Amino acid sequence: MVPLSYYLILSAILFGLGTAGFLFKRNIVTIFMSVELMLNAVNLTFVALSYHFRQLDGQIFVFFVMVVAAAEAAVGLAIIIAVFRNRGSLNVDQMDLMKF
Amino acid sequence: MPAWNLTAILPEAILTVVGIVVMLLGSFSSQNQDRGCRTVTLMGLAGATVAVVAQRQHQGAFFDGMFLVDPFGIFFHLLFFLIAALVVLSSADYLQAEKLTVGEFYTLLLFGTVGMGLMASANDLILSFIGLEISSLASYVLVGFRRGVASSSESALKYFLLGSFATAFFLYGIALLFGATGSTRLTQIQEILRNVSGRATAGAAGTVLLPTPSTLSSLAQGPEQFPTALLGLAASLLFVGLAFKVSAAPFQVWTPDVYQGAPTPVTAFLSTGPKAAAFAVFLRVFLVGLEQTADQWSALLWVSAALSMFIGNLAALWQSNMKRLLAYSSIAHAGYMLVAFTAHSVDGTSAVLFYLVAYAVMNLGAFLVVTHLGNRGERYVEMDDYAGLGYRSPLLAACLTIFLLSLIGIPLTGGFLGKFYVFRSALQADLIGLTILSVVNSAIAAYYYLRVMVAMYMNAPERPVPLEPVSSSVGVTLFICAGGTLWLGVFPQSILRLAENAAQWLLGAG
Amino acid sequence: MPNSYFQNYIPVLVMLGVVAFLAGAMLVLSYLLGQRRPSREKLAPYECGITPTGDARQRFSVKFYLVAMVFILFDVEVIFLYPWAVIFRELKLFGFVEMLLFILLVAAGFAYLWKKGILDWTKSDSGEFG
Repeated sequence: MVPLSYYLILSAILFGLGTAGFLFKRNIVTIFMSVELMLNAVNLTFVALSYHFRQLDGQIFVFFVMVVAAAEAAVGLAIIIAVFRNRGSLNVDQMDLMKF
Repeated sequence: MPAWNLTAILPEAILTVVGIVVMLLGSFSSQNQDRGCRTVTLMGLAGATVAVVAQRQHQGAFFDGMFLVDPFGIFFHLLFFLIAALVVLSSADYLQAEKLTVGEFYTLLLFGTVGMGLMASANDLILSFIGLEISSLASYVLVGFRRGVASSSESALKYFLLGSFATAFFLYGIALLFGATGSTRLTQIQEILRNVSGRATAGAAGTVLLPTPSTLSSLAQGPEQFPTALLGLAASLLFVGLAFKVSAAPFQVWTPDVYQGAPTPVTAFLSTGPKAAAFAVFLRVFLVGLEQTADQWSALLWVSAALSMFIGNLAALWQSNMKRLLAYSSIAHAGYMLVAFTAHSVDGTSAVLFYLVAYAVMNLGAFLVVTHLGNRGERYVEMDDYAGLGYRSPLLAACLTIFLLSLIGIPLTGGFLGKFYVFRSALQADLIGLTILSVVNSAIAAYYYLRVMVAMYMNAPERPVPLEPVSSSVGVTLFICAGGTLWLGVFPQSILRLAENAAQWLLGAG
Repeated sequence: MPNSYFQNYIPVLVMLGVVAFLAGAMLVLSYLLGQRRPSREKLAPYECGITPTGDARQRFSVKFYLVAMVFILFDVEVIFLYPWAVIFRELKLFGFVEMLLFILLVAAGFAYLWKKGILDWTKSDSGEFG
């Protein structure tokens, strides 16, 4: 039997990795994947807690989070394609059309 | 019983169906169906409004307590429908000039409104999350709607990346709150926390340990018990996600870029609709769910309110682009609303609600003028382009003056009363420092709004700016916005009563 | 508790060790004992026995992204069918109607995609989406 805290710590680490990836990576697709990693870390938390509480709510939430993540991925890819067409680059440092 | 539940989400259901109809209408009809799409959209919004008004007779909790039909939710629903209708009405000319697909634009607006409606009525954090995502996904696409324009897709990208980043924090907050209390129903969380704090004050001092809820009694002996630290972490994560959505400092960095790059009608929508919806979730989560930990999060709100006002107003002083200027002013206005929120009282909450309505009409109006003057391709959005507008188009200039005066907070306008209620509630809650800061900020803000007015009435135009005649739909919307701004400033009672009713319900319900 | 928990993993650890040893031994032995007569054909990358053509790193047509996007969406929507499928007998007619509505909403999206020509694989690359 794995203690709950192991899962929570693992998911916190994954969430932290996602955050770090978001902040330090320069390629848009990688940044986007970092966000997905964060969402999946939260999914892990939900499942672990749901198992711990012996109730199904948490697992249902995971379904919804997964669907939302998929919808986000679709919209995100579309936006990334649009940006690539307009700019020909996927580096965030070059996204500087609007500065004052 | 399950089928009866469906009446609770009737407005959302109507809007979803209408949205899909408009989507299919736009793609399946061979000839131009712009007018048809607009008519269907407006009819759908009207139908949803009727459904909401009818719901006032059937209040209560639905879907096992996930969805609440209460005065608070109804207030926000009506506000959202008003905003959506005004945006739909006013955006026709813009869409035509920019050659954008009308059906999809309205569909996304409707879906966004559905998400906002769910956010306002959600009593379950997961439903709040889904509503937040529905409205966010729609707005991400709307921001990048001018596909061929680099700045539009770039701001969509920024909004999308930062938005989903913030959403992940919000979701993690939900997960931790679920872990701390074993529930995601806000009213249940409220009860659980009340019991805990009641026991803590009655019992011996020491670290307050959250017991696992009574329904999970088998776990009471378990080794895992969650300290309040977890609750604090959950609250701050939720705060990060929501502060991002209302563009409050220090999570406001995306606002100027996104507001500048988005199509102007979309900017108008974003700065009023999703912002109000995020405030609805904000109020519900913190005033209902986390009510017991108020002394912890009110410090957080205090700092965020002060920072938002200063960052928004000081940065706006240097702007020459009108959309960017209004974006910074939008951050500052979020700060004013947070001031009232910090008061944590019925008065404060109703002040937030009233301010949201006043801000919606005046800001929609201001952006509408900016849209109209921007002309094709949004070429004329610099402040210099407004020079001499008072002579070239007195009526348009007069409308913009009303909106700007209201944004400053001059008496006889909705903005003044909004600020007045905010300051009053803050003073009543002994937030004297914060009140002084907000008054100082109102004075700073007056400077950059007045600069626009000076340009309009006192400067001569430097380059010729073409001026299209105002079409009837834009004229009607302008009239509604200007009339609404003045009406709120002179006869605020009816809206204020609704707001107070909603606030009382929210704070007294538990 | 953690101790007994980790004890469960000892067989896995043993197996990992055996696998690593075996694989390493085979590689080392073949390196030491085998004879090597390299030729151009033998050094070329192995691709199902067919002579490789072109560079592997080229840009894909944006169509693939579109199909991937659409696939993700419709694929993940199916997730909701699983919990429903488990209990649809208990839900009776209500559950059936609910799921029918859900499928209808998804189908409306599908009709929209179809009409927009996203499923049309042969459409030229310069189209509205492709």
